[in-house]
Amino acid sequence: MRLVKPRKKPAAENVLPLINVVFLLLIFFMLAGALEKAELLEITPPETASSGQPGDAMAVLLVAADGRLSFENEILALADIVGRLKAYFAEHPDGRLKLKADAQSDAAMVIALIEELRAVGLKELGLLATGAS
Amino acid sequence: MRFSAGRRRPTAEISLTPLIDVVFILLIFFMLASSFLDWRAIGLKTAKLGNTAGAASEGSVLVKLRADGDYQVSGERMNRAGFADRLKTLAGREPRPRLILEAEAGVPVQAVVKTVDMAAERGLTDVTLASRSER
Repeated sequence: MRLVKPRKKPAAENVLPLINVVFLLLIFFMLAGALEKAELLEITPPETASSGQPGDAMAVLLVAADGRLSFENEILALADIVGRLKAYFAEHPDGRLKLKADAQSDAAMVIALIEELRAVGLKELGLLATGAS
Repeated sequence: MRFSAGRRRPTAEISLTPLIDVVFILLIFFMLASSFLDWRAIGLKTAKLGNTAGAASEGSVLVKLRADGDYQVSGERMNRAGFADRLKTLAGREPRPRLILEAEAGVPVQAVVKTVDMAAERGLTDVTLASRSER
C-alpha cells in the first residue's frame, strides 16, 4: 500500500507543462478574442476588401437574410422600425448608425430601408462587413 | 528515504487539480465565446431615383445590378469582366464620374459590397446607392 504513493510523483511533474500551455492559451483567447453580445438574428456579414474601421458605441440595426429586422434586442416589423429609429435619432442627433446586413439579404430592400431612415434623421451609415478571407 | 520525500510532497500536489479544472473551464469559455471576426465598415450614401430623371444627371453613371448577376451600365448590359473594363475607362475620365448603384429585387447585399469594392479599387470612390421612388 505504501508503495503506491511514489507513483503519483511523475504524474504531478507532467501536469506542470500542461498547466503552462493551458494558461498561455487562456491568456491568448482572453486578449485576442473579442467577446460579443449574442444577437437575436443570425447574420453572416458580407466580405469586403475595403479597410474602413467601424466606429464604436453606435447602435446597430440588424437585417437577416430572410428580411427580418432587429434593433436593440427586439425583432421589429418594417413598419415599426422606422418609428423606433425616429425616436432613437431624436435622442442621438449625430444620426450615426451601423447596419449589419446578412450577405444574402435583398439589397433593394436594404437600400429602400436606408432611404426611409434618412428621412427620419439618419446622417451617417456604416455597413458592417468582414475582411475577405 | 523514499518515504520521507513522499510524505512532504502530497500537500503541494493536492491543490493543483482544482486549479487545472478551473483554468480549463475558463479556457473553454473564452475559446467558445470570443470571436475573431475582422470587422470593417463601409460608408454608404443613398439617394432616391426619380422615375423620370433616370441616369443622365451631370457627371454620374447609372449602374444597375441585375438579379442574374450581370451589370447594366447606362442601359448597356455586360458581365462582370466587361464591367471591370468599363470601370477602368470611367476612372480615366476627368472629372471622375459618380456611380449611382441600383439593385434589382433579389440581388444580395454581398453583390453590392463587391461592386463598391471593385469601383473603389479603380479609384471611383463616389458611389451612391439608389432606390426607385415608386416603393
